Amino acid sequence: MKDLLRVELRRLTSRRLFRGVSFLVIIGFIVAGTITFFISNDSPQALATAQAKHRAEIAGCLADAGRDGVPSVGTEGWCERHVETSDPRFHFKDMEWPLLTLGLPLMMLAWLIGASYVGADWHHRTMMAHLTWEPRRGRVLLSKAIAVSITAFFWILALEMIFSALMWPAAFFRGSTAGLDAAWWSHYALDVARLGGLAGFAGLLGFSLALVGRNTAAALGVGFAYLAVVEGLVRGFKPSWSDWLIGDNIGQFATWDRVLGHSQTGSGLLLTAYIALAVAIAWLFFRKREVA
Amino acid sequence: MESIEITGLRKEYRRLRGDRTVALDGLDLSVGTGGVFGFLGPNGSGKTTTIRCLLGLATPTAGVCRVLGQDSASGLASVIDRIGALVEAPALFPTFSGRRNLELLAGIHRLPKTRVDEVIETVGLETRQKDLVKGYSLGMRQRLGIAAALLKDPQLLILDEPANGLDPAGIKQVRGLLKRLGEEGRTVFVSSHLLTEVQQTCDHVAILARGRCVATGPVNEVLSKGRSNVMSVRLKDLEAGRLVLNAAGIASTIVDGVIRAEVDASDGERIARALAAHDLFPSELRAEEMDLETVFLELTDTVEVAA
Repeated sequence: MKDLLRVELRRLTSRRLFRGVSFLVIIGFIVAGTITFFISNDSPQALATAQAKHRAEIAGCLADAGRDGVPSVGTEGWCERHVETSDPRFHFKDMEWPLLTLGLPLMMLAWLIGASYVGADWHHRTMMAHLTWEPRRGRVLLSKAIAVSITAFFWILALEMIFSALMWPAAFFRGSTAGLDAAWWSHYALDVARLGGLAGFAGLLGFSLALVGRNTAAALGVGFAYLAVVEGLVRGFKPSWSDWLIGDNIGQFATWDRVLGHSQTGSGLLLTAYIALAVAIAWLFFRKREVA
Repeated sequence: MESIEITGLRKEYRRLRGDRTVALDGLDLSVGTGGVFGFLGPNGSGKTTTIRCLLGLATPTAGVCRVLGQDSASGLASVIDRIGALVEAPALFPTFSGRRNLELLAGIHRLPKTRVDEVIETVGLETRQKDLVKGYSLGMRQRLGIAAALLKDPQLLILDEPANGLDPAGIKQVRGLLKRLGEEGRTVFVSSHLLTEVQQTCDHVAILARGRCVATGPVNEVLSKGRSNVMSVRLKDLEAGRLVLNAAGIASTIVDGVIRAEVDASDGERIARALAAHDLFPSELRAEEMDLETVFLELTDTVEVAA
């Protein structure tokens, strides 16, 4: 089993799709890091200009007291809260939001990697060749499933860390690293870990669908149809069922903001149950079906 | 112990409309240990289905397949490290190099890299081993598939149409390889439609038609089943000879410069006596034998007609 898993991991990480996607994502991160580096500005002049602009906007807000929705009572506090601070510096402590935003496309890529991994096995008939080396289908499925989930988890973990590392120079040299205490780092690390876990979930879901449909496109199509159509319809016509939807639970688990009827841990457990069910169905299909 | 034992193997495929296609119809087959066993049959006769049932890739509707003494349905895992297989076209990852493909397979059974070198050399792919498989010709892919089947240094080698796509030199090389493996004491079970190849390579043969085995045994024995009751006689005065033989009650005709006498091969003496009695002495007297191709077509045609 260990040898089988090692081979699967080697094969998965050697794939052109995996390497190509990783390369393109990292190029994207480099571009984002470079742009942020040049946009961020911590020079005294820039700070002074920004502060002056902020003061002017506050003054404008106070002048509008009683008009345009600005209250006439407690205006000063209201303006302080509602006029955005235009800080020209990039603050690393604000990285959580870009990180979570990035999580969704990365999860979709994990889905693609998982689906195409087993889809290619069917397409090139290597599943059959594989079974002439290891006829115990349970082991074959398990090794592939573990390989997909481990790879997706560590892949997203690595990409998120690379993203953070590439954004660091902008904060360190031309922005701000203030507020990065132990509590912040642990919060940030948990965000990264949860996104890694969700990537493993997405990879396994893509894998399971492709194992049943014996096709990458089928897995991607079903995934898209479910998330875009089925969940959309459920949200529209049966909002009370939203607590059980994959998308909503992913959102709650990733952001760790409680928006559903159950806890964030509950979302994690529900998603685990869903993926266990998907893998079990894939196993039922794979166990006895003919392999050609 | 037989290398392969198939008893009453039946395989039906259900179609969406509800009707069934019978791919194998109670196939019985026994393949001994050592040597090259040819598995012949026309397209759709069930050769690949049989191989897939043997390797646990398809579930039989009825019957039992045993490979190296183990039931294919339950005990294949215990003997799989002694079985090498190539089913239909080689299944390879096109965007990996030939070597990479073999290394991944070798990793499943922890085979050393030197074994990969050996099989690459055996099939003559040394110079192209690092090229991507998608750039390989059909013949090169076939060689790589054979290399993959040889990786485990198997006791039983199951090859489905191994000569597909190979050029004459490649076919000759594979023929030599199969013979050598058979002589080493391994069992090579090879399905093919290239009858001459089977005739030149195999010790034993089974002929499959419409999912049933219509003939099996040593190649020479199977050939003898197709032996016609015709002897060809070569002599100077063909017309005189024909008249003599006809007068002796042996129906004869002249075809392509020889007399074809319709008599069993064991009755050759009758021909010799009849001719000698009239001072006619044949320069050649031999029983006409069919080649495997003719036997094959005759046997499979019989089944087609019967069916």
